[in-house]
Amino acid sequence: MTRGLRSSCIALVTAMLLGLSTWPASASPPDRNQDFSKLHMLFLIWSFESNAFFAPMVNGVHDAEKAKRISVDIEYGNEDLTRMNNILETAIANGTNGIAVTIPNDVALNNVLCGAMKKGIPVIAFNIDNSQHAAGKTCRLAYVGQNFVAAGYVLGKELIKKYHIGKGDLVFTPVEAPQAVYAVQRHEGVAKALAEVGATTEILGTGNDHAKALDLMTQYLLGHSNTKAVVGLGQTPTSQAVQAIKDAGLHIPAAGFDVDGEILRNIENGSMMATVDQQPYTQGYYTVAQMADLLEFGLAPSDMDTGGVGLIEKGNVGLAKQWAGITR
Amino acid sequence: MSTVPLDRPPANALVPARAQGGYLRAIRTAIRSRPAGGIAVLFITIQIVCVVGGLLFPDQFRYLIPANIRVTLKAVAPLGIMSLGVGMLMIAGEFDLSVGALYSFCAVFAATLANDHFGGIDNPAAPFIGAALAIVVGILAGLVNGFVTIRFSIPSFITTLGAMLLWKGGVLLYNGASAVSFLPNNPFAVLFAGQFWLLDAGFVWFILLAVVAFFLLHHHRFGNHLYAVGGNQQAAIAIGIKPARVKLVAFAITGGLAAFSGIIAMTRVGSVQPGGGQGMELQAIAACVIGGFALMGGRGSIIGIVLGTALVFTINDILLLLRAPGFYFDMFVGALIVGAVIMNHAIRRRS
Amino acid sequence: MTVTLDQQPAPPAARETGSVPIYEARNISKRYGNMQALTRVNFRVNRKEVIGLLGDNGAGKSTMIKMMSGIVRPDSGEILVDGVPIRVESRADSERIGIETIYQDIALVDPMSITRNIFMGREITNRFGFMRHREMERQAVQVLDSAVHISGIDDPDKEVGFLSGGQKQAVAIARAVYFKRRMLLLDEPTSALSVRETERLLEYVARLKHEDVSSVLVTHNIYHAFMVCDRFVVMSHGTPVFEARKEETTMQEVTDHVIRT
Repeated sequence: MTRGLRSSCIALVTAMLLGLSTWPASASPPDRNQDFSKLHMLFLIWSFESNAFFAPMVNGVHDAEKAKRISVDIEYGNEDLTRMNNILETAIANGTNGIAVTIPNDVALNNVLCGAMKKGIPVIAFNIDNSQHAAGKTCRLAYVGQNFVAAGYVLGKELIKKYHIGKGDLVFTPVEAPQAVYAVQRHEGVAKALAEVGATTEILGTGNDHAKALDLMTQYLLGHSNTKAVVGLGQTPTSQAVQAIKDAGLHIPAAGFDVDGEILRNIENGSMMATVDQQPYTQGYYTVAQMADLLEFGLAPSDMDTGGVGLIEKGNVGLAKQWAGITR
Repeated sequence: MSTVPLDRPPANALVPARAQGGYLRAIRTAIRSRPAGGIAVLFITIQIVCVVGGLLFPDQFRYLIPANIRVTLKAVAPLGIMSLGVGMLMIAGEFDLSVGALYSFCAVFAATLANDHFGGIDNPAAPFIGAALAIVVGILAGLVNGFVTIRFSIPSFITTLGAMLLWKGGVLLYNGASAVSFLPNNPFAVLFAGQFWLLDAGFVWFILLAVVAFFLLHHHRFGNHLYAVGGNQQAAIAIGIKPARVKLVAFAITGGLAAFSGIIAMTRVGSVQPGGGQGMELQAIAACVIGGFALMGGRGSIIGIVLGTALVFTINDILLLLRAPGFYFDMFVGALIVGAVIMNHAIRRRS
Repeated sequence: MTVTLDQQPAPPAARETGSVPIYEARNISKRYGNMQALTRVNFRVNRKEVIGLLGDNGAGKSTMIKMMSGIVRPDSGEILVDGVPIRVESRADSERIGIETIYQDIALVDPMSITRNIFMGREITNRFGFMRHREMERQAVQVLDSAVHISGIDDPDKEVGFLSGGQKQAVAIARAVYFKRRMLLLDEPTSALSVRETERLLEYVARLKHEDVSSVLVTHNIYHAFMVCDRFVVMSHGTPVFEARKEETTMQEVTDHVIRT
């Protein structure tokens, strides 16, 4: 070997060795699958722990928690705005990194949520947002939940098409709490579709209890035998619709919102036309996933219309039935 | 007057015990003799543990940071104010289960009055008038509870159970199921929901009302009559105390305080939900029982109410700070109620 | 000489003091549902007199006491105090007359302190109704110490519920003693007392007589009655059936009337 070549080889090897020796010191690319559980977020549900509707949502939260390796504190507001405020303020004091919350009443929650955002704690709304989708109106970055008006409209149109609802027809639209945001918006969508053919609706409050709802709905139908169809605007009345129609001795179509075992059985055997699924699992999963992405990587969250305008009907009820209560 | 004593007790036999013995004995006697003694010990112990924990682990257990102290104090006020009334009525041997429904109704009433009358919510006087009238409604509701209970000899448990359902439905009849916003200007806003460093106005009201209740219950003859009527109504009658009059006043106070607590809660949050307050009546009774009250009446103290309520919310705060699942709270409070009653009995038996 | 009463009594004879009876009940009747508790009872209490009110269970003695202390209202008849007809229809009325009662079922409130029990309903207060604790305690200590010689009570702040039966009775006695003005009614006051305490109480009742406070003592114990009473009234089935002064009768005779009627 010539002297020049030997020097070059030595230089090259030295350079390589130097390079190798500094390799551990140079930063390896960060591991996006690392443990982020030091980050913790609050997931505040407006209702009670015993409310079965939220069970799939909690499963979604847990799945996202695992997938994104963030830690989530699920709390329940017990339908009490003061309690929700207390939980939010305590979480902020406790240094929570992010807040996911249902907003049933933006006046009551505005101050504390805007305060959180000002402190740099991001807020994402899910399931209900009383301020109706306009990000920036109630100090939250995004809303993960269903567009109730659009979904109601789709349901209404399908009902009209399948059962020839027409001018002067009356459609019974019971709901748990007539003044709640979800009720008002769902009703708006359904009523809009029906108004286009000249049909009308009537609302009745049933409460959350299934047995009581069945009694009330049956009594209504007994008193209004000219009702053309029943469209439940929430899980409770929808689950009782078919039975109420039967008990009142009528033969009219039923449809509604939300999902449970009874509703899916009715769709499967044809006694119920369809139901709108707002997909609580999706709300739980993607709220947490988006918050995690924001906290871990700075990715901005966006609105999500869970359930879209898809209906569960006889044709696609299989998977829904299989996973009812778990992820549906 | 001359006496023929066969063996006269020593001259200092009737000197009150607190002048004898040391401080430690005095403290032990104080704990044993007061209905709130046991709970005071428990409360102080828990606070010491929390403070030490907060000092040693300031990042993991943020008990001592101002924001946490602020929210805990804020949370205590509505239930605390309601429990003052419920407790005093319990001493007289009666219950009021309608306080939660009144909390809701009177708040809605105040809000609708202030929003739609007296110049609207922007008029500084409107919320005061609305709140005052709502408290009057609460007092009248309490008087009706008392009148029906006494006049028809119905157990107050039953009367006020009926009243609870009446007011619960009544609020929906009055204003429907939607929430009512309540956004008053100053001075009402600052007087009832202002924040002064760590204290919020609601908590200040709670302490003020507790002090007034303390003097009324423990240092005024009316308080003595409350204890007499609740402790042994026959004895009170034999002595010439009129139980009806005493109880009516207690019912009125309870109704008024229930309304006041609803207004405080509503002003803090800016709106009121007609279904709110549900379950608070039992929570108030639980706080009193934890504070050493007897369900039969005749036993209890204001400090017991304050400590009982404070303890319940301290536990709540600890659980939230430790990020424990929500159902632990109910289980803890349940265990606390049973434990407090057992402890109080044990302490009394050993005296 | 004994007198058996089964008709309207003659107008009351003047006693040694030559005064009108401080208390007189005329033709008092009281019915509870189907039961006639008192039937046309005539009863009087003179100044400086201790009356023994005797009779078997159910005779109406306790009802009589309750009527005199105002917590039971008679259906008919009239009451005269110092010869003047007066309505005694409440405890407040009897208090105004100056009557204090020690009840058979001890009228004390267990969860309250001794002091508060003594002053229950008659608390010493300032202008606004706030109690003067120190003053009340001082008075309580004084009356417990002086008149009644209670054994074992060392703290007027102690809850009455922690006292023994005898001590509770003693507190009730102390209360009546403190507030008595003209007449003391004692309904079986010695049932829970020890022998020594009973003796002291009876001595006290005798002493009171000379201080112009008359007493009506309801008791089952003839010996006690004979120790301290000036006159005996035996009741049976709601009405007096026998009346005699102590010097005019014997224990046996009184006992016979109690048993046989």
